[in-house]
Amino acid sequence: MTLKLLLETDKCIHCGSCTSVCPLLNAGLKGDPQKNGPDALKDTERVKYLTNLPFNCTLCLACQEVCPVNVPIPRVVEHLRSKVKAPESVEQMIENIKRSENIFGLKSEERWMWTFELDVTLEERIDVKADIGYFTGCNSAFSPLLSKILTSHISLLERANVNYTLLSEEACCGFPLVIAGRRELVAPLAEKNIENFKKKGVKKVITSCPACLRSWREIYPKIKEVPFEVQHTTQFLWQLVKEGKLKVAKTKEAFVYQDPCELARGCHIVEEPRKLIKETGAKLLEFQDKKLEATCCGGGGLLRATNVQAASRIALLKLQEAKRLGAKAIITACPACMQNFVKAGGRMQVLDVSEIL
Amino acid sequence: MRVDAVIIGGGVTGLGIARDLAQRGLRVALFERRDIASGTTGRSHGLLHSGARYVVRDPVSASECAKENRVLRRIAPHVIEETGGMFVAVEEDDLDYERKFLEGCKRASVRVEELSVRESRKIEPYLNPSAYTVFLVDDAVVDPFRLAIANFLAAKEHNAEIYTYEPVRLIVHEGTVVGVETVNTKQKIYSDVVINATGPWADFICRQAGLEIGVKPNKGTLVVTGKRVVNTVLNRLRPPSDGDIIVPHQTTMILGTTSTYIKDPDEVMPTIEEVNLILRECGKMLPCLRELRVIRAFSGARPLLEGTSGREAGRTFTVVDHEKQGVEGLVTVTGGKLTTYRLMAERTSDLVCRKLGVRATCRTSKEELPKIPVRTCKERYEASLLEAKWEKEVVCECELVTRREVEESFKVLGAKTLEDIKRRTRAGMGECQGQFCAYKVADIMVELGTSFHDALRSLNEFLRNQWKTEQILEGTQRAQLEFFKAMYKLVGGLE
Amino acid sequence: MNRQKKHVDALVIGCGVAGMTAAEIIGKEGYSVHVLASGYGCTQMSSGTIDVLGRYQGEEVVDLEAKLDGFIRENPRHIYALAGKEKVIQALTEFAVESASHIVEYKGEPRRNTRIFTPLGTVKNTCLVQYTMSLNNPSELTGKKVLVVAIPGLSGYAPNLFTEGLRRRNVKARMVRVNVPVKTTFQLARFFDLEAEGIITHLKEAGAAGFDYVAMPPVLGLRRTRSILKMLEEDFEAHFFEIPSFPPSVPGQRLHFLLEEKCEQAGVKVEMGKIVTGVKIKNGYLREVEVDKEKITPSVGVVATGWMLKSILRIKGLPFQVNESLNVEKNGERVENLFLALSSVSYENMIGLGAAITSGYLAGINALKYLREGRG
Repeated sequence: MTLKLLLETDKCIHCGSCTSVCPLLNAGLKGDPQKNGPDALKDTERVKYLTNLPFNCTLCLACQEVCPVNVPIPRVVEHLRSKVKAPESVEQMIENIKRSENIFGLKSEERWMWTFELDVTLEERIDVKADIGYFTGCNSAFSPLLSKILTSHISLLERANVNYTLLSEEACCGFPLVIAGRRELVAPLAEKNIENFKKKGVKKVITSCPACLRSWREIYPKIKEVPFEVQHTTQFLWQLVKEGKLKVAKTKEAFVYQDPCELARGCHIVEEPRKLIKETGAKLLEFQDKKLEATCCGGGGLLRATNVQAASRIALLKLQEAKRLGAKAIITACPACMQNFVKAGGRMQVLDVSEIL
Repeated sequence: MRVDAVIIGGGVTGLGIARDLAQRGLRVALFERRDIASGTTGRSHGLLHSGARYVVRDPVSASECAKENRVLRRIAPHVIEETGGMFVAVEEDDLDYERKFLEGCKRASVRVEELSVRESRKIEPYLNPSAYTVFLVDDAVVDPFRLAIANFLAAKEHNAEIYTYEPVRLIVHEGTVVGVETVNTKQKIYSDVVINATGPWADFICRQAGLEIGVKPNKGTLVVTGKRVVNTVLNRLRPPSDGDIIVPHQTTMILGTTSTYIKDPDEVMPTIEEVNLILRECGKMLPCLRELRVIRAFSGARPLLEGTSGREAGRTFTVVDHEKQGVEGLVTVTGGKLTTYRLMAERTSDLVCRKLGVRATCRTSKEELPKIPVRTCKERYEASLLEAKWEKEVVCECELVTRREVEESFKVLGAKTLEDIKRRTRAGMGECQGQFCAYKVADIMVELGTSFHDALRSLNEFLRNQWKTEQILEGTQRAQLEFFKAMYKLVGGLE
Repeated sequence: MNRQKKHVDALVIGCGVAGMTAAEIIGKEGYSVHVLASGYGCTQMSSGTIDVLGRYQGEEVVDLEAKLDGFIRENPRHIYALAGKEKVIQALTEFAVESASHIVEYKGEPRRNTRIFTPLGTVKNTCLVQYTMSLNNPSELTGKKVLVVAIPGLSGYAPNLFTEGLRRRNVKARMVRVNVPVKTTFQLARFFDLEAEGIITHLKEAGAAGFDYVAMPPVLGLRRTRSILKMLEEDFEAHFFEIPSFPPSVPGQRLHFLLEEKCEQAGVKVEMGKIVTGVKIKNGYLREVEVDKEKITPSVGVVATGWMLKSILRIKGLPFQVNESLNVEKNGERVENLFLALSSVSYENMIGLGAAITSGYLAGINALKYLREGRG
């Protein structure tokens, strides 16, 4: 694969556009898409001297999007991550996934702790035959901070009388492995997840995590055939609203929407979350760079694991902007964004789209 | 002004003679009409031959190479990359040549080791999978610019005076060469001997004294790729012909070469046909060359000696004391190769010392060449990790050249123009060909005291030189050059 | 995946100056316009100045209107000739006038050129400049005291050369180094947007007082330029102006934002990250454009994919012959409802974005005419 990647980086015209949009650099940190991208493959030696520079990246995809000649810089970063020594925290995460099929290395039973707060009892919606499969993702399931994303989604699905199932043996989607440069370890996880949903007769898989979505849409088909449509929950929920099957709550508050990088640039989904927010009557504020040009929250690319100060610093810039806009809360559609904003501090409330519906 | 010896020609031979004679205590002045290493030296592919390339056709040259090879490695390890080399035969190559090759290596004591194709691909993953014979040899790569600079510094250490951008003419008085006169300022410099070390331009000087040495300029074209995908030097295992070497240089690869007799060593422009030929032939050893980005093509003139033709011409050099032809005070050295420069300088210096009655002996093979205050790419990578303010310092992103290196080049390495900086630091040798560093270097020039007009003039000259291959290169490089022009002409307002 | 066909009145391919100009013209008349772009666009590659015709027959152009006449006569196939002088001036005038109520205002007199100092300290002719550069003018600065701010490590301009260039023109220029830990003009512009006060302190410490004018690299914010400039001028009681920079440039990015704003106001939908995968032309009409897996049936199409990288960018199925009204021609046959906003840059004549605005304008009004009358 290296020759193909090498030839892609040959197109670089050194215009510096990538450098001008890098969120790390724009937050005053050490980031360098040109060095981490096309320049890194210039000769066989350079990789040795990168140490962990490739991990100084949120994989926000802005550099690739702005590149006039479409050099796949994030792909190069991923390749470099597979060639350099990963930081301790990343190695630990990989071990966790290998051992327990989740990024935290926790026992799989702990995946279900978030359901204790639900009205719905465990048996009714787990491993049942259904058209819709809800893939929760590790982050949302295991983090007490983020499980509200799942509980609010469940209540919406119930309200709309959707026939859905959860998996008792959900394995990590594998995306953290891909961005750690260990794509080759994803296969067993993919096969397990696909098989499990297949056994339940699922026709469509929905997920509230954009990283999981990308894994299902882009990585899984290369490993095994994916016989279902895969959607982000905002797409699915908007469909329900359009068909009149879901009535949403009303509010007069002002919110600002943060486009998650993986959702906007990664999957080109920018309209549905906005339509949902507007449907509630809320005032939709926008960051000055939005949709495909949105700037990263700082929580991607494993940056929280490798350099938490950098991730927080980037988040603070957005929190400042949100405050200046006069937003009551930042609304997002991604557990990684939510986690990074909340943990960065500041008094700005962070909500998932599903929470205001 | 009066000196013991005047040297004309600032290539590696002239500088080597300056070092040698200055070391032996002579007062030496060297005059170069442009910049050091801007002639044949700077157009060399830098291959430090193991000698294997010539074992069949030119065994004398082969053993000469092998010996000098070892000397250079001893005295100048910091300008040499120990890459190793391979000789590769593909389907269409003559099986019999392999036999002659092995015999020749044995005779000339050139070390070879056969590798299985699988072993060779471990060292060179991009090697043509259908290569059928591979031999490992002790090739290395010398950076011709760094070699010239190191000799420059050595000569200056011993008080040699080196003048660049100073063309000179012989002063001939009653059949004797008594010195030189600078063309631009009409200054006269008298000397006991004038040494003509101008390579393929040898006859331009000789004719000024009514002589002819019969050097035949021969054009060779080289092609540069933007990426380096080989670890070693790749040579084609067949009788030397066009397009049979791939030489890695830091972050690039130099592919070559061709051989055409020309009239004027100044008229050297690569043609599309030559570029395509080189890519095609070299591509037989390294198939990815078909798709890799080519960033530059250039040509140089070799100083081949009369009496022979093309590739058959002996690569050995000649040192002539023209008193044999009735003209006193002039010595010419020409022919030879980059890697035998020191031997050429030694023989020339021995002759000169004999003429002038100087007893000192040559020490150039024993003493190391001085260190250069400009780093190699590898050193730059290391520095980029360790130095705190490194990010602020970078002038050329492609080659990681820092401000300090540019300043040192102006201050102690004799640089006067942007072209000179390119030769000394590699700024402008990468994929963008100087687009994003040219204006920065021009800015530094002004900071160090150059006038606005001179800096702009130097910038314009540099740009002209960088853009001259626009018609020959295709694909991404052509787009790059277009972008380059738009930036300086439309935004920068240059004409 | 739904394969439904979507209808739109006008489909514009390319979100550069030409495409966005065309889109806005059509959109503000109430038609549904969709702009598709493969990426963010290359507008940030420009220095943000609108160069119309800087040099003609080897001489500097001052009276633009008069020289345009001559140029048009000699180049009958050039976009300026196809549009005609009046339309060129009209396009530029509308552009400048409308910009006043948007994120960045363009100043200049479309019938006359103005001169500015370039990042190298040379002087070039241009027509319209962003208001932050309107004082960057040899005749304005001659004899005046100008402080040139140099930020070590910042790429994009050559402060020493610039200062010397000013001095050559009798400007009392002095360079001062201000240490701010930034590498790109974009970084600094974003800091200015967020926190202008902090940087102003740096400038004060560097002794920016006592000068009539202060020349800065183009970093005075991406979005909040007006308030930043006002803050600076009040604090220092000096006139601040920006030096244009090499690509990628902040003023170029501001121009992109200006065009985005205008399009948004005109109800134009701009979608980035969309690659055109196929074009169907039948019986002399553009029928369908395929984008990712979606099919769009536009009433009229405008192609404005740019010049700089045309050797790299391609659209499948699209021929590039074009006639006087910018209709695309396929195999000698005119495609009635497809227009090409040509781009032509000339170094010899110093023609830059002026041609892009003109071609976008002409393609836009021709497309509009087609929508209204059914014929281009």
